[in-house]
Amino acid sequence: MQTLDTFASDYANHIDFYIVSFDEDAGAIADYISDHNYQGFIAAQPVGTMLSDLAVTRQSTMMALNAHGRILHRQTRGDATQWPAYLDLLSANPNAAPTPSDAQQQRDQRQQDLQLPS
Amino acid sequence: MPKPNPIIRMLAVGIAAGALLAGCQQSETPPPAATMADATATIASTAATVVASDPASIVTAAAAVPPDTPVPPAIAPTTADPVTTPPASAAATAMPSPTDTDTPQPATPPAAAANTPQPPTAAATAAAASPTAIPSAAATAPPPTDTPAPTATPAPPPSAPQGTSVGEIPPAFAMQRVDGSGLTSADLAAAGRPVFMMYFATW
Repeated sequence: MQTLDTFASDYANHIDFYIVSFDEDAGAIADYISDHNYQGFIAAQPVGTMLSDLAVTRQSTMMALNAHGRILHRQTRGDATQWPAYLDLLSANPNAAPTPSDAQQQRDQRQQDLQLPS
Repeated sequence: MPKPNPIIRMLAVGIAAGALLAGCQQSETPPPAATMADATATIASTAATVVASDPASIVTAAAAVPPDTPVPPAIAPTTADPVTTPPASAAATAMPSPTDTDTPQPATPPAAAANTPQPPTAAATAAAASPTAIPSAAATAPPPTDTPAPTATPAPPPSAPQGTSVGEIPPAFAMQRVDGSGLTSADLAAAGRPVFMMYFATW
């Protein structure tokens, strides 16, 4: 979150940033954000089977949805260097969709990440 | 056609003119309307017959008549315009039947007006058809009114399958904000803004 905070405010006018609790309530996340003086984040907690439905099995999982709710980018383990490129894309085109090659590459990377021990 | 005797012509013209003058003078008196009308009609028909036979002879005959006789002024207008002659006008006023036959002619406009209602009837039929069209439009309208609810949420591209991988539409999910308010995936899509979600734990 510290890395995300460095550039989240630059995209706050175009993109909503949700910090979803992995196994805590939203209050714990809100306190954490407040304690670190992070800006532009919305604290939330999953309802029901959200985590399992979205196949979120690890913390620090990131998911970028375009304005249509389509997954543009998904990352299981943190590699902050890739985020700005997708945030720039969504800022320029809220309905941006991944190219087939990019989608395939991200799926392959996801499978490799899931093989790693958590 | 044999020419009539000029003397007989002059007599006929004189009789006709005299009768006309007499009719005009007698019109001031109250004779029976039917009798006066008949006499005037007879005189007019007789004069018309004489004039139609040979108008030129009548002019010459009128010139031969002494100026103090009232015949020429009475006949000359009759040949020129029978309608403007005093007997004709008197006959027209005395005989109500011609006026009654004329009044039906103005009454024909009502008949034409009776024909004009056809456009109103056409309009009425159109108006009658429009009510039937309105219910049909109203019948077609409800489906769009039902559809706005789905259209309120931007429909995902049909080519995007549902799933959790990149390029797919994730299954419906729900979250809860710190203030307790709920937030669903449909709400996010309705907002029309891209979303970046990071799953985080404080421990």
